[in-house]
Amino acid sequence: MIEPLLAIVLAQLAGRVPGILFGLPLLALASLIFAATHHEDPAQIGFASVHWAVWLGGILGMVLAAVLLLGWMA
Amino acid sequence: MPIRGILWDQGESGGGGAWDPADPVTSYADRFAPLPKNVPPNDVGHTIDGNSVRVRFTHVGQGLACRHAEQLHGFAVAGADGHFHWAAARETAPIVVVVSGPSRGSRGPRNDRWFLPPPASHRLTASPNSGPESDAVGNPGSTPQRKRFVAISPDDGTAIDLRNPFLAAALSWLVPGLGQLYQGRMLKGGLFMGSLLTALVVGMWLGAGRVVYASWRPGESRLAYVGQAGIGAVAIPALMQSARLHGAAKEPWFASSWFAPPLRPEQQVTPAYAAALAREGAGVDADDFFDRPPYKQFRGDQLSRWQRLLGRNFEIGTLYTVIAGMLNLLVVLDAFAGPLHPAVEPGTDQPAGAAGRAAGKGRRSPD
Repeated sequence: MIEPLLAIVLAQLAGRVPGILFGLPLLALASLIFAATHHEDPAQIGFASVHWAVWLGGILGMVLAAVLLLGWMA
Repeated sequence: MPIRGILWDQGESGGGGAWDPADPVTSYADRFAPLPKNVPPNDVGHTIDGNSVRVRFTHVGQGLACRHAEQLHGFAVAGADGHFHWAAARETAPIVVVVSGPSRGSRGPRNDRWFLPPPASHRLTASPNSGPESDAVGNPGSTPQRKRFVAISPDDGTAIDLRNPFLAAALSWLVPGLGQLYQGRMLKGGLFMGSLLTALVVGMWLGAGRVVYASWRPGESRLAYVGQAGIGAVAIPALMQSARLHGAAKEPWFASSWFAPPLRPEQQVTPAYAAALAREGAGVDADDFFDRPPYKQFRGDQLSRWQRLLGRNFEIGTLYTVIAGMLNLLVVLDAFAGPLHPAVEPGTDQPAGAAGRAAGKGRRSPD
């Protein structure tokens, strides 16, 4: 059940690789700024950056996957 | 941890700042809230008993007064590590205040202010004798001093001197991280400056310098400018260019399409600007202008030409500069009020994840 959907999403994703590549630095930037504005200690900033990157990447990834699926279905 | 120092800041309850300047820990606090020079050091005495400290004030005239608040607050205590933490305080005599700090192993209610890191918005306005209220409780003839704004680090409880937060915020708006550098927070200042300026420069480079401009003419509202305006270094030139090009001068401050809004059909500009645009290229040449003495009238739509010339880079460059500008608003807030208050882990009194990391790295949690 999951595998066909995954294949569809990956196929759609491949057509948009440049856009995603340009978006990844922005994701990293947002994670870094969010972390640095919540902490003062460098170690905590590094840890929180990863934390934010996982959250933002997960949420935006889900949205992107939904959009790609809907686009394919339409 | 036994208490080693106490800091009394200027809070809503009134009163002036005082601590024992002979104590090495409390003398550290003098960095951001120095005692007035006309108060002799022996005017303050204290005795320590476990996690409480009894502070005796002898320079308060008729005694201490708690004003504008139901209880004393604004007291912080430090242990041997020299980190200040909020503490509860009560008056036991007109000239004695007992301040109790958190003790190891004990846990108060969740909302007990001892155990929660103070929010960044609860800034210490540590200013000894800075106004009429401090005069009302004593310290006659004291010299008014500048208020000092201090935020508390959510990581280790150390004080962060915000210096002049309004100036710091303005500097950070102008150039990302400049306000933090002004406050002496070099690492964060460098981090903000390096990351946000890089994003901005990359965006400008992708958009060939044409993605940041201000325009509010009918049919041509540049909404992206609202986000880009989060960085003053590009927002100000864009505003200047737009105001002059659309004004009576009919040419921007510096004769280049950088930061200048695109020309609309039938827009009139000076011959000098028309010549500069033709030299610059970017889809415009001398034949695109009619003679309308003393001006030149443009035929065509410069924005469409930019978009045709740059393709998707125009949109990506716009996105980079908008994101950089919007993220810089958080940086401005950080310069103004210090780090944002982190979420508290449910069921504990620690910031989310702090206890686990402290245990994993062998570090002490804040308290």
